[in-house]
Amino acid sequence: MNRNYLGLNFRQRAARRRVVVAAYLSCCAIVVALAAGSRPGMDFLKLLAFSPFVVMAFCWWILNQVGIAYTGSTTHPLDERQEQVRNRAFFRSYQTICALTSLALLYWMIAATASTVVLWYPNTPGEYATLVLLFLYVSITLPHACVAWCEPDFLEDSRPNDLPATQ
Amino acid sequence: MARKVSSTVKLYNRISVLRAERNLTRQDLADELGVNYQTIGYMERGDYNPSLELVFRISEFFDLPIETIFSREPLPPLSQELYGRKASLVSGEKEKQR
Repeated sequence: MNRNYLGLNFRQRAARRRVVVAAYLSCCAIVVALAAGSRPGMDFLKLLAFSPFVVMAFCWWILNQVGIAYTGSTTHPLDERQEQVRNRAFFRSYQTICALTSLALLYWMIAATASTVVLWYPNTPGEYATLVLLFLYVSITLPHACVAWCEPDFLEDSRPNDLPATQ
Repeated sequence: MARKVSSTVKLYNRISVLRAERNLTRQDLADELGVNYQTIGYMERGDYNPSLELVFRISEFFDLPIETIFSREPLPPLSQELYGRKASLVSGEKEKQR
């Protein structure tokens, strides 16, 4: 994590949080575009729904870099602190995924059975496939997103070859 | 009644001082202890409390008792502790001579 991307310094938590927000706002934008695009005469929105995938791909890559910087690469064994960071991230992700899945199922039940209000839910195979892709994206990126969101700033004095100031 | 123990007790340590004395980089110490160099930085800043196993490894590496390296109270500078002890020894000897 030695480089800046798009003028953002990812050693700072604030910059990393922006990436997390951008990633999941893109997911929300796709769902909104799919829902709005299912109305008559709004088909162009379905095409627009694919544009956030570019943002999501960039965010995925950045979050992956952050995750590796904080919890180590997959080729080296983790030390006890890195294991703690990773376990905390998995635990938070698990909680979030459970809550999101429960909410989505609840919404689906209401949308499929409600007779008084018209709520959108996927009808075509393309819509289902997009939602499955979004779910996969969220579940894959969430542990790294938790690390990016929660871990403190990457301090300059954490450079490996710095000697401490002499006493 | 069981004593309530906070999970966020800060552990003070002298790792950076001992590292300076031995002219070691974070990477050198990390390699010796088998941890990531960032973990050394986290411990030095007091952002991470090491496990008992790692504390023992640090103690063995520096060849010092654990209580010399780690404390639950802020640690005084080593020089102050050393000269304080020396001064008390000198004053004790003077009293004996009287």
